[in-house]
Amino acid sequence: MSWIAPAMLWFLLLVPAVLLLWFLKIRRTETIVPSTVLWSRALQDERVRSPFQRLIRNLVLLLQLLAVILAVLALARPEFGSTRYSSRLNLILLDASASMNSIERDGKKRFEEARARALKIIDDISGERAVLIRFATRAETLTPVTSDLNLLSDAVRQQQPSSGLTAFPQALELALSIARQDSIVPAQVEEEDTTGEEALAPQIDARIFIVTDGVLPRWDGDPIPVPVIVEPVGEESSNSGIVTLAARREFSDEGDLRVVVEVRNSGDDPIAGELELLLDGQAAQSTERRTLEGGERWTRSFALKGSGSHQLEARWKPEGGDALSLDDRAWLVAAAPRPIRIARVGAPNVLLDDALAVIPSVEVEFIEDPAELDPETAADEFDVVVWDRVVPDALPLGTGHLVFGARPIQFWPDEVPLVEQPRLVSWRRDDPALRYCELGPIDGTVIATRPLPPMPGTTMLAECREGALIARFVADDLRGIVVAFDVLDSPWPLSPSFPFFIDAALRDLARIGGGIESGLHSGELIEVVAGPGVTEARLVNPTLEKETEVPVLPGGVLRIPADDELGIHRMQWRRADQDQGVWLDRWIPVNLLSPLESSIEPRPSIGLAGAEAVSGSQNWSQGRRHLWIWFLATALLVMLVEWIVFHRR
Amino acid sequence: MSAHDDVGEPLLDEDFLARCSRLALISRSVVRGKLRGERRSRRRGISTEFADHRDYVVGDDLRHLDWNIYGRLEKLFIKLFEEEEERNVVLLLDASRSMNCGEPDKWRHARQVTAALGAIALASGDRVHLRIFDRELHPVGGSMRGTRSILRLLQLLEQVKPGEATALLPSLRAHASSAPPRALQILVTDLMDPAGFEDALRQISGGQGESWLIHVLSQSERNPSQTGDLRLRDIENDSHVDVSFTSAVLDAYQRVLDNFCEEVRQVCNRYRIQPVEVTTDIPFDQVVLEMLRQRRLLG
Repeated sequence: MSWIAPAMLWFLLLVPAVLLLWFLKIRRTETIVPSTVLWSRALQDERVRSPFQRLIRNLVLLLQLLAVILAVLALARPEFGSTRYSSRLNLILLDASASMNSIERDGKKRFEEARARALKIIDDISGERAVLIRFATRAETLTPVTSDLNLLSDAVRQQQPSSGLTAFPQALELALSIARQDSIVPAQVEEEDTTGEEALAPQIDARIFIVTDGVLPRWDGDPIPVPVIVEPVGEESSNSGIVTLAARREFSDEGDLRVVVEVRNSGDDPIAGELELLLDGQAAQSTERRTLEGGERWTRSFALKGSGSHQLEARWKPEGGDALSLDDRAWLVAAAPRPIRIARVGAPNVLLDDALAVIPSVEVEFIEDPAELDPETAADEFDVVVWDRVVPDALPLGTGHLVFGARPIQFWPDEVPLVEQPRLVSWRRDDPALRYCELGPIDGTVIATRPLPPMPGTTMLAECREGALIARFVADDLRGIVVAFDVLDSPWPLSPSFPFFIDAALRDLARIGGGIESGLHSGELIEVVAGPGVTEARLVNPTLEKETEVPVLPGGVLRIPADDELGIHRMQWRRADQDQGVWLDRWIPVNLLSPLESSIEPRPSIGLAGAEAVSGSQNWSQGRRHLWIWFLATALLVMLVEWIVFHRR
Repeated sequence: MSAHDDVGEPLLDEDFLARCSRLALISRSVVRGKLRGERRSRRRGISTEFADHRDYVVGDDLRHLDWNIYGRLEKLFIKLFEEEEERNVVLLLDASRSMNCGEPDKWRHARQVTAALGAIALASGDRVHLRIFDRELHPVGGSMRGTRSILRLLQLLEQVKPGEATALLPSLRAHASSAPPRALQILVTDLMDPAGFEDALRQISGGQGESWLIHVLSQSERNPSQTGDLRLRDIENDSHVDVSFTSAVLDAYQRVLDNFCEEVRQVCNRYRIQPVEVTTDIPFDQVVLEMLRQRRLLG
C-alpha cells in the first residue's frame, strides 16, 4: 500500500488528543450519598456478573480511537498495491499534432485542455513513476523515468502543439519499449522446477495514458501488454481545409505547370469559402467561391505558364474562419528543372538515340567505348548512364543506370536461357518508371531475349512467365533499371510509350523529377545534398525573421528537422570555392496537407488492434484501487457502532 | 443529602397526637418496670389479674388461700395474681450523618416515626427513654412518663441534630449496658455502617425484652434515579466510588440492596427483633397507623 498524501498521517497525533479528551470527559459529577458501601458492593457484583462491562466501557474508547485512525488514514489517501504499485510506471503520451491546434467553442486551443488533463494525471499518480512522451510528426520523450511530479508538470506546461502529423504508432512503440526495459524479471525459481517449461515472461508493471483528441492513425502493431487509458479531449468538429496541393510539369519544352488543389469539408455542416492560388505572391487565377457540403471534397486543377522557379501558394478562406487555420494555406515550389546529364554508352542505336532526342531538358554525351567512361568521376559528371547492349562487370557507383539488352552480372551472375517472343504476364503500373507507359507493344513481339530471374536486390517491373523483361535493381549507392531485351528486336521504339518510359526512367534514376518540391510536414527532416565544399549553412524561416544554423554533414549533406512554422523555408549554404558573400539556397515548403489532421472531430475511442483501451477519465481512476473511500466508510461505520454501544450501556 | 429540615413544622400535628392516645405499643412478651404500671409482668404480684395456683407453704398470706378449691379438694392452694408494672420503651434514634441524606428527607422521617412511637408509648403509660447515637451513644432527656412528657419528647427530637459517622456496635453496646431490663427497644436507623450491623443488632437482642428495628431508607436509596457518570461521595467518611449509571450497574445495586434488606431480616429473625422496613416516600403516619398495625405492633 502506498500513500498519496502521507503528510496527513501527522493527524495521527489526534490519537493522544482523543485519549486526553477521554480522560477529561470522565470527570464525574460528585453526588453525596449516605453510604458508598452498597455501591461498592454493586460495582463489585456488576464486574463479577458482567466481566465485559469494563471492556464495553473501554470499547467506546477503542472505537473512538479506531474511527480517528481510520479517518486519518483515509485523509492520507492510501492506494492498494504496496510496493508493486508504488513502482508502477506510467507512460503519458501527449498528442501535440496539428489537430490539437483546433480552437474550441470556449475560444481556447484544444491543446490547452490536453495540457490540463495531463497535469491532472500527473497529480493523480503521485508516488508512482512516470515518463512523458510527446508525439506529433515524431515521438520524443520529454522526461526521464521519474517520480518527480514537478519535473513532469513543468515539462507538460512547456509544451505547445505542433503543425505536424501524428506519429502515434511510433509514440506507442517508444512507450512500449520503455515499458519493456522497465519490466520486472520474475525471481529465479528452482532449476528443477523449470525443466521443460517455458521461462516466465517479464512482468510489465506499467500503464499507458494517451491524452489525445483521437485523430490518430490506427495501431496495427503487436498486442499491447499493458493497460491503455485514453483521455479524450476536444469537442469542435467543424473544419475545412486544403488536403492536397500538387503540381507537375507538362510534357513540353515550356515546362508549363499543372496544379491540383483539393479542399475538404471534414465537418457535417456546409461551409462556404473562397479558393485562391498565388504564383510568386500574385494571384495566378481568379478567386473561386464554393460551398462545400459536409464531408465533400472539392478538387480544382489549374494550368499555369512558367518554366522557371516559382512559389505557389493556395489559400482557402472559409467564411467566418474555422476551427483549424493551419490547413487553410499550402505552399509548393516549382524549381526550374535542371537538365539531366546522360552518358549514352554503346554502339549507335538510331531508335534509342531518337527517343533520347525528344526528351526535354536532357544533355546527352555519347560514348561508344565503355572503357572511356571513368567510373570514379561518372557520378559527378552524369546523372544517368544509359548502357545499350553493353554493361561493365562493375557499374559505377553514385549514379543511375538504364541498361538495354544486357545483364548486369552484379545482380544476375548466372547465364539466363534465351526465350523467343515471351508473353507479357504483368507489369507494375505504379512504378515511377512505368507510370505513363503502355507495354502492350512488347507483349509477344520481342524476337528473343533472356528474361531475368528474380534475384536479391531486384524488383520485376514487367515480367513474362520465364522472368522479367524489365527489372529494377538497387544496392548500396547503386540503382538502375534493366530492359532485358534489345529494343531493336521489338517494335516498342515505334510506340509512344517508349519515349515516355525513357523520360520517366531517366527522371526517376536521376532523382531530379520535374523540379517540383511538394514539401514536407512539420517535424520531418529537411535534407539537401549541397555537395562537397560547404562551409556554412542555415535555415531561414518563411517570414525571414529567424535563421537557424544547420550542421554540415560529410558529403555536404545538410539536414535539420522542419519546425512548426508552415510556409516556404529557405535552406542556404556557402561553399569554400565561392565568394563568401554569396549564399546558395533552396526553397523547402512545409505544409500540413493531411486529411487526417484536418478531420478534427474528436474520437472518443482509438484503434488499438487487440489492445483494450479504457476510455475516459471517469474510468481509469477506478483502476487505481483507491482505498480512502473504504477507510472513510469504515470510520463512519465504527462511529455508528460506537454510538450504539455508548447508548446501550 | 437532605437540605431542608422543615424548620417550623412540628414533627407531629395535634390530630395525629389525638389518634396516638387511642393506641398502644403491643409487646409480644410481658415487660417489667420499677413501678406498678399498666402492663402485665411476669412477676406474680398483687394485682387483681389471676395468674396461677401453688401449694400453700407456711408463712403464706392466708388472704390468698383459694377456699373454693379447699372445699372441693381439701387441699390448700394459694392464688397467684399477675403484678401490673410500668413498661420501659427505649427509643434508639440513629443521628449519624447518613440519616441526614437522601430524598425525601430521611432524618425528618426518622424523627417523625420516633416521635410517633414515643408519643403512643407515653400516652399509654409507658416510660420512654430517648437515646440518640452516631459514633457513640447520647442519652437525651432521661426517662419520660405520662402524656405530659409528649411535648418534651417532641421538643427534644426537634432540637437534635445529625452528628458524626455511624458506629452502630459501640453505640448499641453502650446502650445495652445501661438499658432497663425487659424494655421495649425501638431502633430507628438506616444501618449504614461500614463495619456491618449484625454484631450491633445482637446488642438489642429480644431475649430479655422486645426489640423493634425501624429500618429507614430514603427513596433515592431504594430506587436511585441518577444518570450518567457520577462520583458518589460517602457523607460520613468522605470516601468515594465512581459509578457510571448503566442499567447493568443499577440492576446490580438493586440486587445488593435486596440482599442487604434480606440480610437485615435474617439477622433480626436470628436475634428476635421485629424488623420494619420503611422508605421515606411513605408518609410517617401511614407507617405508624397502617404498617405497624398490620404487623400487630400497635393496638
